[in-house]
Amino acid sequence: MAIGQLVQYVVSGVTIGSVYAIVALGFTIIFNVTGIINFAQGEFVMLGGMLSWWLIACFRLPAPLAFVLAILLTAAVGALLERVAIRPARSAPALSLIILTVGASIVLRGLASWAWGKDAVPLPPFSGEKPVAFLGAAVTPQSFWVLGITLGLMLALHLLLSSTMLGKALKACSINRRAAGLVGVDPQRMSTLSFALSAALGAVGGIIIAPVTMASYDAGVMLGLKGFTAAAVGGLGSQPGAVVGGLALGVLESLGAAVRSEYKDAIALALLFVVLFLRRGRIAAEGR
Amino acid sequence: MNTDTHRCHGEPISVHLCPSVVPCLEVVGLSKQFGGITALKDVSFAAEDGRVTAIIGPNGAGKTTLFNLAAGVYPPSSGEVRLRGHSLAGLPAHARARLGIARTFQNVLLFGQMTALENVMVGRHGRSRAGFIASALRLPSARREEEEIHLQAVRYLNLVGLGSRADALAAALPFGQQRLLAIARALATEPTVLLLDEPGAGLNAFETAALGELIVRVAGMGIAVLLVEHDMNLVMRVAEKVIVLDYGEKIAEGPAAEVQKDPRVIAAYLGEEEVP
Amino acid sequence: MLGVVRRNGLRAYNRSRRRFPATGRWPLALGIALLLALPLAGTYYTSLAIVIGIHTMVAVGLCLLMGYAGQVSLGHAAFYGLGAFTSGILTVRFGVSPWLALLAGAVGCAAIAYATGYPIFSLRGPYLALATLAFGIIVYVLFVEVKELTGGPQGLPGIPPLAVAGFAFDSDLKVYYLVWAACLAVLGFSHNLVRSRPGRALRAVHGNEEAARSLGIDVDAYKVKVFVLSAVYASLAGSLYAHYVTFVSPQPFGFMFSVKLLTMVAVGGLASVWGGIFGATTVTLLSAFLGSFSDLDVVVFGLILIAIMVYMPQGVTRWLLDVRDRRGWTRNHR
Repeated sequence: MAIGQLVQYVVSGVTIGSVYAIVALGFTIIFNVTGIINFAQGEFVMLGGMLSWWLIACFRLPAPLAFVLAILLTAAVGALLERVAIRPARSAPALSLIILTVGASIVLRGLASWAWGKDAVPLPPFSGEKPVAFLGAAVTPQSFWVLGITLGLMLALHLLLSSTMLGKALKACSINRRAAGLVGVDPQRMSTLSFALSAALGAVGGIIIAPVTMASYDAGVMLGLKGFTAAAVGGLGSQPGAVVGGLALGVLESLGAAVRSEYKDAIALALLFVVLFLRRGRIAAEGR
Repeated sequence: MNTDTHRCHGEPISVHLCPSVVPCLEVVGLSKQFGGITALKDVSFAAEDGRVTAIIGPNGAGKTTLFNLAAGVYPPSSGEVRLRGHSLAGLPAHARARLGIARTFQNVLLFGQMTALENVMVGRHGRSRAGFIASALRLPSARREEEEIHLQAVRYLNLVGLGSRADALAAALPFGQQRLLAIARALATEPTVLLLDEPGAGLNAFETAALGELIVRVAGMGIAVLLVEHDMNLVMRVAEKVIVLDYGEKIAEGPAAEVQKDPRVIAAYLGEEEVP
Repeated sequence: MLGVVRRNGLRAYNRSRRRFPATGRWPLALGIALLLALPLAGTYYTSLAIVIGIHTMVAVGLCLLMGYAGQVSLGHAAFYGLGAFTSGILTVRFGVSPWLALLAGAVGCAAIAYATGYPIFSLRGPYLALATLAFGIIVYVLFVEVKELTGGPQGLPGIPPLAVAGFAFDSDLKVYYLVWAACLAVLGFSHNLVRSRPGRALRAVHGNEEAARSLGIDVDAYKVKVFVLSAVYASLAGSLYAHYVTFVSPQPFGFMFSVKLLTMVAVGGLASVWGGIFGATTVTLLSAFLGSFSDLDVVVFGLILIAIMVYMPQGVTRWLLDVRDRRGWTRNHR
């Protein structure tokens, strides 16, 4: 393979990997604060893209406004999910919660397909389509946007969690829920907030990747699955791990697709298997 | 006394339940590290059939770790555990249970959604054989075995005095009875060694006395009883030998009355200052 | 005082009896009579009942896995599809006898479940769910992509019906009795299993793995065994499906069917073998009814799952029984 082609694959891998990283971060936040694995995380990404398209196409809103609104709406959906479905079931066994979030994901997916149909819809790239030459490969400007925004998000998240009162409250909840409650942090509000934050993150991911992959009602399934893979690979609960996992998964998948593109998803999932079994011991220790 | 031949992963090991020169359970140079923490350091002792050996020590001394190592919950960092002279190294917990090591847990761990009787019937698992096919097809051999399991389970419930509560849901039993049920369940495995992890915790004086009687009766059946306890009255009453652990090391071993007066033991519990 | 103890014991005894509901003599006889007579209601109901019977077989296996062993499988449709495709491929492409193909499917699924079982069940909680989900999707992708064997998205037509000594199960009526005979066999098998030593062992594994191990139960082996059993049930059901519809395509064996299976188990009660019929019936009927509103049926299933998990995590049947218990309790207490 020529070096240019290799770079091409790596770049597209890093691009999609950034979205995986964002989804993985969303998983991580909710997991850290509430201990729940939110199988509906991928749907937040889908909603970001679909809502943006809808607001632009049907309401003629300017793109930046549509994006902000889409993010806020998705965050609201996340908060609503937590309030209505998760909170009443907090004491249910882990299996029930998993099934519950699976149910939530298909509700969101079903509503999306009912409201907007099953066709994929386009989103205009942020700053034009003309590819830029980079190390022998043609890289679209959107890829740079994706990477840049992802980095920005990570930075913002880091600042939020380490330097603001709110961030500290979230961290306190994730370390010890009861103790946090005892010092005045409301764990229930933090739970809702973590869902809203993760949803917003997911929405951003959906918005930045939609110009590349188009938005559709079922984009969330594989994104959620792969995002969770990335989070699990990096160590569930570790934010840098989530990002590294996401990028690695994106690149590996891209390279794998170069070999056999129809099996792209299967390859990613097979990788998931391999990683899960390799990290079996560590996972078992984490679970204890 | 009966002699049994057991198989463990295909390897025949005979475990004779008759008095012999070889002690029932031996712990030899056992050590366990968890990351940077040394939970147990070079602990050695032996437990004999039909005797009650108590293991005491301040909190964090490594008593439950010792039990977990003996039961096979995790492997030791060094040293070994021997049952009748045969090393148990590499054997997983369920294999050790089938060889005759039974235990109870500090936090009881009953099958809450099953009845008391069913809990004890599960205890008979290692002494029965009916598999998926035989049970699902209700073959005569499976049915006969099921009746036998039922009978034995009732017997063990009666042994601990819970005969009348057979059909009560385990989670609904009062705490003291839950502890008794756990012991019945462990006894149903027909063990050679019984590890009791703080069976007296949370019991009132009346219940503790009944527990003491039960422990003595169990030892009288020829079982080697190892008892981790904080309740010194109970220990003094039932234990023939007491082993004291502190910070993972054995600091004393001997008859209860002696150990009680050992200055090192007193220091471990009360600190270094002199008690006037 | 003794009277109180006796009353408490009796109530508990009754409660434990009710844990396996509706298995008295006459409800069973009534059910069987209904089953025998159902085809009189017409071919629409007969074909619906065939599908319900097939779904029940898969659901019962999943009930055992999820309710009794306490493990989760979000990709169980894969085994159902593997059974169906094995039957289809072997009979159509290789001319193998349908019964042999059915057996091959069951053996194949058992082997796959055994091979993937140990590694999969060494995982916990969400990782386990994820692994089973991934398994389901990988198999689905294979169904779609290995076109030479499966026919890809177009599917595989021309599957012969099952036949015994010249008597072919080629009409709805004949298939109906075959399917329900098989289904009742599976239910009876499972019912016996649950009330026996292995059934208790499974419940012990579900209750507390460490305690189960301390009593001599090889927890990992049991999880794999019940996984294999549930895979075999699903495979048999899939083969019956293939020989009934005489056509298989990847579409019915995807993630949505795994979700429907989950819903069946959740509705019927995670730990209830006979609840499997109830769950399968409810979900299949609902599916048939909502089929016309094709996008909203997904939403409805999701909402049902959520509602059940929040309000009745033990399943609808247990919830109904609990309500009855509670009312009975207050009456006795007076």
